[in-house]
Amino acid sequence: MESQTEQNSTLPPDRDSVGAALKAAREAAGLSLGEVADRLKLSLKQLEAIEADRFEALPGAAFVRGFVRNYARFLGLDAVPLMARLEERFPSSVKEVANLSKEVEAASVVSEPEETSGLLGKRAILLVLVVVLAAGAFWFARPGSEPAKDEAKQDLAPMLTEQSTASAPVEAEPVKGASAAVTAPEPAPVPAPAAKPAPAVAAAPASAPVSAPPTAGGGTVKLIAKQDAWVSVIDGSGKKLVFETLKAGAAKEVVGQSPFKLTVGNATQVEVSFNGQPVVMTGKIRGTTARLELK
Amino acid sequence: MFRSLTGYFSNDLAIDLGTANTLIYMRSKGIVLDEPSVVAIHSDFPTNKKSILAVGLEAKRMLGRTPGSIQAIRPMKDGVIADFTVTEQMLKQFIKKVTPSRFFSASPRIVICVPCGSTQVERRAIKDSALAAGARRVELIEEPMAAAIGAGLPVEEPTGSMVVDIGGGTTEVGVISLGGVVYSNSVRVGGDKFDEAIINYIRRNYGMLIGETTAEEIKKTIGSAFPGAEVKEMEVKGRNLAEGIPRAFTVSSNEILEALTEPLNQIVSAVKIALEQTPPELGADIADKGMVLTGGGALLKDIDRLLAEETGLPVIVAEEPLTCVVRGSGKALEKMDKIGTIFTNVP
Repeated sequence: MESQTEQNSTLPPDRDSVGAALKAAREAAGLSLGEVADRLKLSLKQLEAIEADRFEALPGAAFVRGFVRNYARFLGLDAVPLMARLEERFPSSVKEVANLSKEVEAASVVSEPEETSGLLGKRAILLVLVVVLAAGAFWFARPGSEPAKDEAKQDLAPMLTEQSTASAPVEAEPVKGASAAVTAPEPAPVPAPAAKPAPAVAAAPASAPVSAPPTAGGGTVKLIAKQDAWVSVIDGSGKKLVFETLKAGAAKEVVGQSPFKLTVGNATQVEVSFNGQPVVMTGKIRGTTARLELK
Repeated sequence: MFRSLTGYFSNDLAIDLGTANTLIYMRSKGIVLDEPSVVAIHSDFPTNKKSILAVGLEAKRMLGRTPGSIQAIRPMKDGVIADFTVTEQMLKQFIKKVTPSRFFSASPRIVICVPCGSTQVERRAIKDSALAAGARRVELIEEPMAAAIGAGLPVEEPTGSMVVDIGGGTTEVGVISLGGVVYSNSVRVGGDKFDEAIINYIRRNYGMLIGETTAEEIKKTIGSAFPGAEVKEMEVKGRNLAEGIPRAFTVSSNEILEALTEPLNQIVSAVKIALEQTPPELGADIADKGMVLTGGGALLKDIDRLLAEETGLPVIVAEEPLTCVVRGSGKALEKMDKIGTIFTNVP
């Protein structure tokens, strides 16, 4: 690269010097054209053409470079600078492939319309595939959310929350968002929360215990977590009293209408009492999660 | 439609499956692999179960230095597949090495070189090996054609170009015009034969036994094809046959020249036969341009001088002769969809 820029700045003298340099070296060595021709098996015409820089008279780039290199080697000249000077008009076949591959890349990015559409097509296909996959994953993750769009959401709300709490520990993230959105006090339009469930997650657990009204015919549920445990408590009216992860050592007491539906993750590490009576969960633990109803 | 779609995701390859080295060119990336065609196989003793221990450079270092349970072999011999399964495994490993594992990777299209002297059976074997190694489509290209393209010769013009590709196992002489091979000839002489000749010479004249790797080293350091002005010497270590003890001794470039005379003569006569068989019009072109040497053998000192003196024609050595064939196949690969005529067919 450097030699090329250098060569560009001093173009006229350098260009002359491929043939001239060879001629000078030949004369310095005291050789006649005939002797060189005899040794290199080139014709006198070809040699004269080389020394006069009339490379068009030679058969092609590969041969121009080869002949000049042979000549230089015979005279004991360093062929590398000569090759560099020839590079501009007679590019090396070695670089040709490199250039070819670059050309293909360049063409696909900038100029050639066919190639451009090819690359665009590739990106478009990738994009479509990603979108399809994402949509598929989203749809499978929330099996209950589809009907909500079609039917009256108030009627379905308890059912939805029930379903989602049942499956909550397994797939907590998306379901949490969805169900929280549905049971939120303000009846928000369904498609909007469904599209972006993440923000709703933060708000829901905080507001849920506050909105629980202490009613008569109800009871008190007390939870003490020895280790981190995910817990949900839903009272008889379908309200979520607790829907969060209790940190180790945290205790929570909620009041609501019976019957309570409890889902307790990491159940062996949580003590539950109902109206002051400790609840035994041992028979109801599946894996680590206990589901039970308190009346 | 589907073919063009999978084309987006596949990394098309051009492979020069040579006796000595295997080179792989990846579309729009350039040469991505250049390793010796050697495979080291480990065989488990009681079960006799064989597994690939190493391929390429790593395996080459093991060549001739293996214990009983390991076998370092070169699956290609004289330019053709000698061991089908091992070649297939080697190709698989090499292809795996250069293809980035992606989720959407379609199997590649592969352009692969065959010696022009190979039989249909041998071509079929190479093609099947590539297919078994995971290629979607395999195109074969004759080595002289690939070498000529790689050397930058005007292959598609109506003018004759002569190319002499001296590889590890074979020497291919081809005369090319208008995108086709007009005459081609292949002799099973190449770098390996040179090594062998050196080994034999040293055993005969010095009573010393040297290995292939040492012989190759000698060839590269002081080997030449034409008597030069200066005589070079080199110290070599080998086993003395009479005493049975490793000893060091010195060989000179003149002795190596003498050792190489026999295989070199075979190459010269192959070139002369090619010139005899070439149609006169193309012969005139060749007289004007001379011939181009490619392949690792072209790096042997003064081999161009030898051929020039023997034929009286100008001889040039292609730039980077070792990669000529794979670059040519690569160029063919890039233009694959546009030109189909340069590939050869296998039934």
